[in-house]
Amino acid sequence: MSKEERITAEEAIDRYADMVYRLALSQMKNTTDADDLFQEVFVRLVSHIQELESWEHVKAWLIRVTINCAKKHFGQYWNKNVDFMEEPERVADESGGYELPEEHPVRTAVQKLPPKYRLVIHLYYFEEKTVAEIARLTEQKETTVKSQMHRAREMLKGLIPEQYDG
Amino acid sequence: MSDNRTDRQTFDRSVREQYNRETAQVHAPAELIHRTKDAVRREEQRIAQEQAGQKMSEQQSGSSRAKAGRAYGRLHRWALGTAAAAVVLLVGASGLFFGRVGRSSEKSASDTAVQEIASDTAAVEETEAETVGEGGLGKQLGTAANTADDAVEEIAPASAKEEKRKYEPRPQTVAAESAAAAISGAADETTDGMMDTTAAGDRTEADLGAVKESAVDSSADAVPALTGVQFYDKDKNVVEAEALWYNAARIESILIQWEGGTPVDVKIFRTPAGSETAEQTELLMTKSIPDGDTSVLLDADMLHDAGMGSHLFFELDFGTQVVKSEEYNIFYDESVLPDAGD
Repeated sequence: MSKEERITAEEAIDRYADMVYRLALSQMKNTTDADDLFQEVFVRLVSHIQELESWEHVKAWLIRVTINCAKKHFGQYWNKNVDFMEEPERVADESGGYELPEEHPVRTAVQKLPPKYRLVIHLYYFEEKTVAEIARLTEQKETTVKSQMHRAREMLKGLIPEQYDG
Repeated sequence: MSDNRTDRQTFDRSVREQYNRETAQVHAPAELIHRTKDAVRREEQRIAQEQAGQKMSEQQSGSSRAKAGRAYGRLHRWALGTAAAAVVLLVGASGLFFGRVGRSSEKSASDTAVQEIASDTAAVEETEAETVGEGGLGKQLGTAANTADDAVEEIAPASAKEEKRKYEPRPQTVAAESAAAAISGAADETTDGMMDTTAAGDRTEADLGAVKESAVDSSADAVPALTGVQFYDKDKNVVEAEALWYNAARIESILIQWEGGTPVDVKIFRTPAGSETAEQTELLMTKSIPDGDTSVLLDADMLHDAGMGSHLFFELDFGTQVVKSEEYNIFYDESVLPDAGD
């Protein structure tokens, strides 16, 4: 990377705001918590920005820290197989407005999964991470990730409307 | 078996595509991005200030080392007093010796001449005695060996410093001052007349004993300790913990009190709540403390950006010892403030 391409936190926000927000939203129980998590992650980045040598590092760091902060936020809830959605999710669209969850049937179904299943599904489907990469990011064994993927898919079959089921 | 796999793959692909389509429609709200950029700029400023503070702290730690050196030097100074006493005794002994020489050599020299010789020789002896002090006591004390006058000068500012720190007068301090005066007197006598120095030396030795004892006693009394941490709201009322948690939104200032000396600086640290977060501990503020102060009132602005729960603790660097406070649980919820509904 040339010196002109200096990595700054603000530039990181411009590049990865959507990625972090989507991941945060997939992990938190509502948009308020997702907003808090989003902000915390980028504020933390300021202290570590000099340690990150490339935008790929920044991206990996952001995913890792978002996951860790979400885990920390949920604390004891993290490992419980409970339905997190305490209130109907409202997600921001591109224009800054909000859409009803009915317009996102698969996302809504994914949101009903336990957080650890949501995480592997989001990373595997949307971020296109491999099982090995997910294992590294979540600090789990690959077999555990595979098992979580399998269970998540099984649960999704019962949650997703028929038209998306094959 | 093969059909099952195909079904699973089809389902997976279908769900994946739909999930990606739906998720791609989600974007971080512009207002959140704007707010986060503001927070990032504030954090950058805070870090810049912190780095500037750390530079100051490094300078202060230089001063801290100097303070520690002074504390260490005090021990030397008492020992230097002992060296001064040794000088006095040696000079006294040499005075007696040369007094006898003077009396036995009446045939070849007048009393005045003898006194001159004795005086000159005494000066040599005094120098030698100092050298002995350096070589003997100096081995224990390093290279610091001063004359009695220097020792007195060192003790005197130490006493003045004790007063400046507004400690309650302790008997040991008074004894140390009187002993210092006695040493001073003994030193004067040494230069005035050699014949009287034996008595002066004895007295100095006795006084030095008192000084040594008082030095040990007074160092035992002055144990640096943190005596209190209080959080205050904007109306200067004490903010109490609710179920062991303090709401940082209420806290406007923090009062920290201590005893047993003056810390070089006070540092405030914050560790995010949760497990295995120790490595995420961050330094929020470093405040240098003027000599003699026994408390400091700090602005609590740095607590007002706390996103989630965290633990706060304070460190007081007394130069030779760092005193750490207990941890205070804090969270930030401005909805409890009276004007939050506006």
